[in-house]
Amino acid sequence: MNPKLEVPQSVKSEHEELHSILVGATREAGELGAAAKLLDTLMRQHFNSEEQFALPPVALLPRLARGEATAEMESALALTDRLQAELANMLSEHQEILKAVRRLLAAARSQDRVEYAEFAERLIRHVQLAEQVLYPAAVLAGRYMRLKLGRGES
Amino acid sequence: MKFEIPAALKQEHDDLRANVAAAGKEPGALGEAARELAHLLEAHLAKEEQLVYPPLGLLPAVVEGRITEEMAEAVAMTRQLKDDLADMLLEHRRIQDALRKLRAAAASASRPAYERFADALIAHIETEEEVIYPASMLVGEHVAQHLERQRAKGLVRTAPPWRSRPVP
Repeated sequence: MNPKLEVPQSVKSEHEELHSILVGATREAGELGAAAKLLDTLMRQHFNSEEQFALPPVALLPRLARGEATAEMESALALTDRLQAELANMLSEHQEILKAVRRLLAAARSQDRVEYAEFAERLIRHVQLAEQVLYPAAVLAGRYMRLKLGRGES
Repeated sequence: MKFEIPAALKQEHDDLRANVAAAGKEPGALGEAARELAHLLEAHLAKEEQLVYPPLGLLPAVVEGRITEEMAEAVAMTRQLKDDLADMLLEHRRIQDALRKLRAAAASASRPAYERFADALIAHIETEEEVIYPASMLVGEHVAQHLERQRAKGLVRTAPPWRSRPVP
């Protein structure tokens, strides 16, 4: 296994694409641009946390799903422990992001900017997917490794 | 036991069906490509909603360690998923081919919304293969391991009675 865990490519691409659309929105004038700038500030920090510790363990899912849990994966436990410890904070950041997204959505709709309205809806979906699947799956990866490797709970 | 599909995934499938249905009403090559896609999607989405997505609804309980004998049903689902995986991935390849056709038809018809839809669905399939399917299989694998150990110790917990009572 690669000693440095990477965020799965599909999730990384989604982050890059969302970020690139948002950067475009920050260049818009008026309320749309202002809402985008606030959102950009919130998302940069949050995506950074996700890419640092919340999402790299997700890359182990295919191997773990096949029942493979090896000692070399143990370094991922520090990441899943950190995710568990910071989960409440991450979810609270989501609430702030969602508030900013809704502001952007309202501005995009009032200016008939369909592409930014679609972006806002897509980002809302991304946040929901993170909460309902990605974060719990990352935590489960840690729990499963502990179970299989006999490491006990953190 | 009732398995709730995570709302984000359910919404994604609902939107997908709505978009494909709308595209299917378009004239010419775009409509034709959308109808071909709809035909491929119908059985595939149903299979995902039957085998892949329901175990993911158990994630909150499973990560909190609330694993009960009733969850054994999820183990059966994910074992079936493992058996069917090669077929489901092959279906993804066919769906992606159909999406590329739809994207090209949308570009020719200057319908950028359908181009974005095709791109988003191609990306969704990649996320399914890298994250969603493995996450679902891991839920089954974890529940199976846990129940096996609990059974060996004679400690299997069943759901509290109020959970299985029908709603009056």
